[in-house]
Amino acid sequence: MIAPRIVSPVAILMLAAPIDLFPQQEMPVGQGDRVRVSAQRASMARDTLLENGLQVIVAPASSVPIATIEIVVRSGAFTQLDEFDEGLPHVLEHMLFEYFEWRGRSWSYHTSRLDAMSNAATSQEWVSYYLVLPSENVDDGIKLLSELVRSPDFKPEPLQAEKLVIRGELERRASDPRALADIVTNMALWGPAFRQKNPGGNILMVIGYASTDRLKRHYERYYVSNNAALIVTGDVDAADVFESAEKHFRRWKRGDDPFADFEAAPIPPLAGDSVFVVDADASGVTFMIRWHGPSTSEDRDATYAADLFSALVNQPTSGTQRRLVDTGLFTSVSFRYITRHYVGPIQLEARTTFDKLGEASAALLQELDLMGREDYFSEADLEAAKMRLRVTRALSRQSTFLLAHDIAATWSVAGFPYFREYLDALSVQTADDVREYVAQYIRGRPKVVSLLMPSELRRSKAGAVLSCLDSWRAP
Amino acid sequence: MTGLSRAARILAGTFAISSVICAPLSALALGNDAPAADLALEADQPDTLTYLYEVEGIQVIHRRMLTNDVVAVNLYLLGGARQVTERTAGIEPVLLRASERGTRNYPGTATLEAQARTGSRMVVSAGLDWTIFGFRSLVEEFDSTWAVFADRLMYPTLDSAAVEMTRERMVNSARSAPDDPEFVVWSLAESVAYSGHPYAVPVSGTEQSLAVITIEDLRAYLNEQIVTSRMLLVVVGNVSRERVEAVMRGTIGQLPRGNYVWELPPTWKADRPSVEVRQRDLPTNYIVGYFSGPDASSDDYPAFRIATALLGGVTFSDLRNEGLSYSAGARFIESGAAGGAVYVLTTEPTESMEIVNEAIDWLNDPFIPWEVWTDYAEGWIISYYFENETNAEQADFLARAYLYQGELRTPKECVDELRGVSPTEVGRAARHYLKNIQYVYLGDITAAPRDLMTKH
Repeated sequence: MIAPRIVSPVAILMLAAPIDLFPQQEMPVGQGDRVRVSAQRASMARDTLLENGLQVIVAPASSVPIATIEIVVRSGAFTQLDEFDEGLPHVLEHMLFEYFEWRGRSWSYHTSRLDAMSNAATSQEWVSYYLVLPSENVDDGIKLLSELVRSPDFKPEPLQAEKLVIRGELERRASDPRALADIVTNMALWGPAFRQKNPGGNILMVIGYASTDRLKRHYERYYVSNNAALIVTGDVDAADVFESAEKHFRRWKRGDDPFADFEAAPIPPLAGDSVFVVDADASGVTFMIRWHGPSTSEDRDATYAADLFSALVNQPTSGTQRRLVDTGLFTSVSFRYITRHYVGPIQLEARTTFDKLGEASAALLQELDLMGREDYFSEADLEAAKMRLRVTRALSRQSTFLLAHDIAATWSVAGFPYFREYLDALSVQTADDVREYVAQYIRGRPKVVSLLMPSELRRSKAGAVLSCLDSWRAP
Repeated sequence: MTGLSRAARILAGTFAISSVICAPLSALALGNDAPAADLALEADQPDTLTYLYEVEGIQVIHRRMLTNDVVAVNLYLLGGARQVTERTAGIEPVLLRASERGTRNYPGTATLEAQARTGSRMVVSAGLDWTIFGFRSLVEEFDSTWAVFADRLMYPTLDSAAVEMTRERMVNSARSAPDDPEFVVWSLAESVAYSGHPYAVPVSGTEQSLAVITIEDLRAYLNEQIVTSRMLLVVVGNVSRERVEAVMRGTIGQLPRGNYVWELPPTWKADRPSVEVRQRDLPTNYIVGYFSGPDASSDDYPAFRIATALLGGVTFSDLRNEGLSYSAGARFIESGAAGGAVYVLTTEPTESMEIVNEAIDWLNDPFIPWEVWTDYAEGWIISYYFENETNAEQADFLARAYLYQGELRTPKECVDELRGVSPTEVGRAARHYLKNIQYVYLGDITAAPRDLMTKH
């Protein structure tokens, strides 16, 4: 019998940072190509490509007179090819604001003049910078963002101070036991490729090795117009935005394709199941089960099936919910696929109480087996799932901010046509498509299983815990 | 650092600044009989129309939104914490959540199946002053969703299986919530600030209260408290007034009237500063300090909102610039008994609290430049719109304005009111209300700067 691996969150804090510093969303969350034409304006998303390769995407849609302007760069954790790159995309994201000076004034001065809110985010496969401002200031906002990304002044002095802020950001996330368990589970899921999935980077590497020179090299490689997109949503007119983008971004120089000689770090497939316990100052027991899912680069159709399957399972009326949650074995069970260019993870999270651990664990194992059955879901379930996703997109589309993020993330992960065609692609998925996805990526496939539980319970109930873990290890 | 340069820095429009200002109100038509020709268009948003009318004793605020396909419906069941005691805390959300497991016209799983076909999201949200029961759906699914919604409110089956399932989920949720240190520090801060006030009762219930609520309790509550006098309905979406009136008359309009009268809760006040510390092994420390605010009808109300937002801006910028905190600011706590809260997450609590106290001192200065206020007011406009983009957010804003301030107002009136607040008034509000702060500290208690947390 192999002793269960116990992972201390303290060690994790020294080794890694939370997996994603961008609010995780199911991907993509925005609506597809068509928006109902209001009495006042047409609102279909449109795009154009400037001569320097910058793609400009406009999605007019708003009930209030504001707009979101977002510039997204295809960068992020996946560009962290060696240990010295760790955290660089995220640090650069912070530093771009510190390096900014235009007409002798700081970023905060300029945003306040536009009555704008601003922020930025770094994810596994994109980095984005955005403004939310009154729609009357869109032209000035586009100009301001162009100044931000085009001409940073790489001064050495602000970097050390900002490292402290970044450390504070990571420490805040590390205070959440679930976030730490998430890190550990992902370390097991991605193995040697974890670096490419961890945008925060290793705290020690960030503090020790992030330097002005490294930031500049990263910037010069990835921050070129032909590796970026400008997204504008809200109370805007597409023609006006295209004109403004052309005017303000034309001086952003096209560069060499950063991915011409780029070799993404291979993500080795899981050799087998990995099962362990994560100690945490948390109540109850949480199963975190993860698989390698489809990539938009290699199996695009499966990504639609993946979203549908998640929606199916998450429906309160699904067999999964009835068998696992309505019976009282689990307090919640949720399924999720995160769309990625380079292997999107499939995540199942199930929460229970320790007194039900044995029974709940057995039921969950059985449920995974059931997922391969022909009758696991009905046509009515499938249609309800499609409807659910359609409503999800309509709800998120109300927010110009969320809509801009959705488009930005999708552009980087899969391209704008993916966003535009998403609902149509979903609508034609059949039950067989979904079953095929399950067969190829879930049922019987290698997975990572982590159990998050209080350490005192793990110690006092070691026998029960071991028995549970053994049941998850493949014979 | 001069006052002006500091002001320039705090004008940074970041998300850390709390700045919800006032209601997103459009022109309104009062009464049931206002003909279509009398409807005035919203001055700032020409494609939205807002109505106020009554249907079978239920007040309705109805915003006709033409720019999206979503309809948000919020039914406000008024009372909140004042509806319950420590023993019955949580009864309203238990009742509403248990209703998803069967109703008269949608027995057993039919309720959830009917909801699933529409793709709609039902909402149950218990708050200090009311519980929201509502839904978000596509416009095309409004009638179908309303039918389920109304049945859940009026005729829940409340069999033992449904109630037990709901209870267990809510108990487990209550049990696991303290895993999150942010939840712990904010709920602790609330309990300290509201000690002795009606808000002290936890409206979502506790493990103890949820465990003892019986089916008989729920049925009695349904019969006695689900009455139209306790309701405000807010609808935001592209559905006509006729449609709303029709579905209401056929369903919830038939509920008993009751004799509930809405009124604002008493304000809460602290006599002196206080500090409560809790040990928890964390990578950082959490500090939250509550302070009371003025009555919503008070002349100080807008000035207090500005003072709170400014406190947040100063705190955020100064702490961030010193590298002391990634997350700091101040929130305006918009409730019937309003207040504010300053918060800091930091590994350097002593230095951080020195800066927080300096920020409060600075706000007490009557000589802050006028342009700080005017620029801030302009900046708030964007925050207001940002926080009210969705139909559901607009619905809640309309309700809060109507219930807290007793009237509907246009955005222009709100902005004009803000622009009319002087630095003197803000300074006076800061001196009057940013004191007797009730602090809570979670983290390494050996590092807790207690003296600094009792300065104001």
